[in-house]
Amino acid sequence: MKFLKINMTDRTIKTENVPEQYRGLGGRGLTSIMINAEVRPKCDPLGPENMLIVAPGFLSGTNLVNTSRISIGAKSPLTGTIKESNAGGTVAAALGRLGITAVIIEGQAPEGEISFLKIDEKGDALLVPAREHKGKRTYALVEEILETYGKKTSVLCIGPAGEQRLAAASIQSSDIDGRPCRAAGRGGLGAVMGAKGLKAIIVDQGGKTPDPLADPEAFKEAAKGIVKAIKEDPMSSHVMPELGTAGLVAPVNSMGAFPSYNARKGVLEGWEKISGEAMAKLIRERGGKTTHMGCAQCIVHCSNEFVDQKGEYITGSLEYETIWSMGGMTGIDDLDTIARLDHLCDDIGVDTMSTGVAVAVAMDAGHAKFGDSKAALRMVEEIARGTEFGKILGNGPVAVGKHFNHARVPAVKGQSIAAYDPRAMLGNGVTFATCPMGADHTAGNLVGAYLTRQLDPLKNEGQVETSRNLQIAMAAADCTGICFMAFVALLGPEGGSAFLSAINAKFGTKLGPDDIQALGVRVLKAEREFNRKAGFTNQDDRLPRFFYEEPLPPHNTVFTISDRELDTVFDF
Amino acid sequence: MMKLRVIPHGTLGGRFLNLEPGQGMKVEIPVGGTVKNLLAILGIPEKVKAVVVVEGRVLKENDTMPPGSSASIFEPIHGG
Ligand code: SF4
Repeated sequence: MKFLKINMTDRTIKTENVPEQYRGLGGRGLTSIMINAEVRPKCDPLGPENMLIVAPGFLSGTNLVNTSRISIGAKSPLTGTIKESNAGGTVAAALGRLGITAVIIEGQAPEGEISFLKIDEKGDALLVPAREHKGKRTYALVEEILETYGKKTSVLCIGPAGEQRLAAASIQSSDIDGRPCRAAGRGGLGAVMGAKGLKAIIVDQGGKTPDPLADPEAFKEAAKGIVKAIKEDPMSSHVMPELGTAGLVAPVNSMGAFPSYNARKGVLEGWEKISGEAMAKLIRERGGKTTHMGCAQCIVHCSNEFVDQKGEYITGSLEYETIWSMGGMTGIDDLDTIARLDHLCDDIGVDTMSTGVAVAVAMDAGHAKFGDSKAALRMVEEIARGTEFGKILGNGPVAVGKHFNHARVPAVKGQSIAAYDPRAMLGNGVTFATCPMGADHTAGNLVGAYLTRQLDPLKNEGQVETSRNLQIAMAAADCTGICFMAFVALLGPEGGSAFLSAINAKFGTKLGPDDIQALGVRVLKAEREFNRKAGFTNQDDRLPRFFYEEPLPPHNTVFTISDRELDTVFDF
Repeated sequence: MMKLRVIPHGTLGGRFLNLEPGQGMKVEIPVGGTVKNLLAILGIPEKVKAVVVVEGRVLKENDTMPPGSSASIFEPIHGG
C-alpha cells in the first residue's frame, strides 16, 4: 500500500504509505477522489498543477483472473472535466505485485526534456533521460524498451501525438506479447503525460510484494467461484473468444443504432463486411488469431490479431468501437483499411474513437468523401507528421468542427460519443449526456439491457434509471481492476457473491452489495464535484442539438429525454 | 404456414452450414407462430436466450412473428 510520487519539476521521487483518506480505494475511485481533493479544478490540464495518476484496481496484483485493468486519471485537456481512462495489458498486474497503489506524476519537466520512469522489481523508481526517443512511434519505442529492459517488462507510453500535446492523444499499454496495442484512449491523457515530459513508464513484471490478503483462504475460494461464473457465462465463455467485442456490429446495426456517415444514418450500408463474423472468417483464412490473451491473467481472451493477406501482423485486437469509428462513421466498409487505421492510431498514440469521429466530421464537412479509405489514412498520417491539419484532427472532432465551421459534431463536453446512436438507444444518450467525463460508453452502456429485453431502446421509460444504475455499478467496478468482459459474468447471484467475497477477503471487511453501490456513488459525487468547481453546470449535460432535431433512419426518431429528466440522473 | 427470412449472426451463424456471414435462409413456421416457435424450429435451445430482431425492434419470446418478415438472430452480448 504505497504511493510512488514523481515530481517532474525537480525530478524527485518519493515513496509514501497510502494516506488514511485514500485507503481501500483503487483504480478510478482513487484517481477521481484524489484529483478532486488535490488538483485545482480550474488549472491548465497541460500545466504543472495537473496530476497524472496511474492506479491499478484494488484487486490487481492478486492472482484473481481478469484483474489487470489500469486506471489513468487527470484533468482532461479534451473535456476540461475530471477524467479516468482505463486500459488492459499487463501493467496493472505488475504494479499490483509491487504493492504500488498508485504512481502519481506531478509538476512539469523543463520544455524539451523527456524521460522514462523505470520501476524495478523491488518497486524502486528512477527517471531516465530519453531524449533519443523523442518523436518515436509506440511500436518501435516499445520494441527498444523491451530489448533494453527485458521481455518481462510492462510499458505505458505515448507516441508523437502525446508529445505534441494533442487533445485526443492516448496512453498506450503493452499487451501480453509486449505490443503497445491496448489504449487508455479517451480524454487526451497522452497529452498530459507528454506535457509532464514523460515518454514511458516501464515496470518490471517480477514484483513479489503485493499487499497481503486479509484472508487468503477465503480469497482462494472466492477466486474459484469467479472462474466458475466466467466459464459458465455464454458471453465470456464463447461469444467473446469467438468474435470479441466486434460481435456487437450485427446487433447494433440490426437495431438501427450504429451511427454511420457521421451519425446521419443508423445502419451502415455493407456493415456485414465489417461484422465480427466477417472479421473472424478473414482472420482465420489468413492464419491470424481470432482469439488471443491480451491482458495478464485473462481467461476470456476477447482479443484478436488481425493479419494481412500474407499473414503478417497489422494490428492487435480490432475492437467494436474502432470498427465503428473508423468504419461506420467514415462509411469505410473494408476491414483491411480499418485495421491499418487502428494500427496507425496506436502507433501515433491517438484515441481511435475520437480520431475516427474527427475524420468523419471532416468528411461530413466536405473535406473528403465518405468511404474514401485513402483520404482517411492520409488524414491520420498527418497527425504524426505534425501538419496544421494533423494538429486539428489530433485535437478531436470538436476542433475539426470548428475548423470547418461545421455544427454536426457528435460530442458531449468535447468528447465524441461511442458506437450507439442516442436517437435509437435513448439510455446510451442519457449516459453520454450526463457522464462526468464527456460522452463515454464504458460509464454505463445499456446495449446489454436492450438485447436482454429489459427495456425498449426507443421508449423513454426506464432509460434514466437504468443509466443511473449502470453508471453507479461501473464507477464501483472500475475501482477493482476487473475487466468488463469478466464483470458481465459476475452480475448473476453466484458470480456477484463470489466477487463480493473476494473484495471482503482482500480487505478483511464485511461489505454488502449496498456498500459497493455506495462506493460507486462516492466516486461519481467526487467527479461531479470537481466538474462543478471547474465551472460545469447542468447545461453541459446535454447532447448536441442535431440529436434532438434530426431524425435518424431507419427508425426516424430523435432523442426525446427531456433536460429535466437528464438533471435527475445524479439525484442522490 | 408462413414464410420468413432468417439471418443468423455471430456465434449463431456457425450453427447453419454453408451460410456466409450475413447470409439469410428461408424458414417456414405456422401462421401466428411466435419468436419461441421460430427458435424451436431452428433448433436453438432456450438457454441460449437468442435475440430476434425484426425491422430494428427486439422481439419478446411470445411476440408473434410478422408474416413475410426478415429476422436477424444472434446471442445476447453486452458492451462496455
Ligand atoms: S477479456 Fe479482453 S479486455 Fe478482458 S482481460 Fe481478456 S483480453 Fe483483456
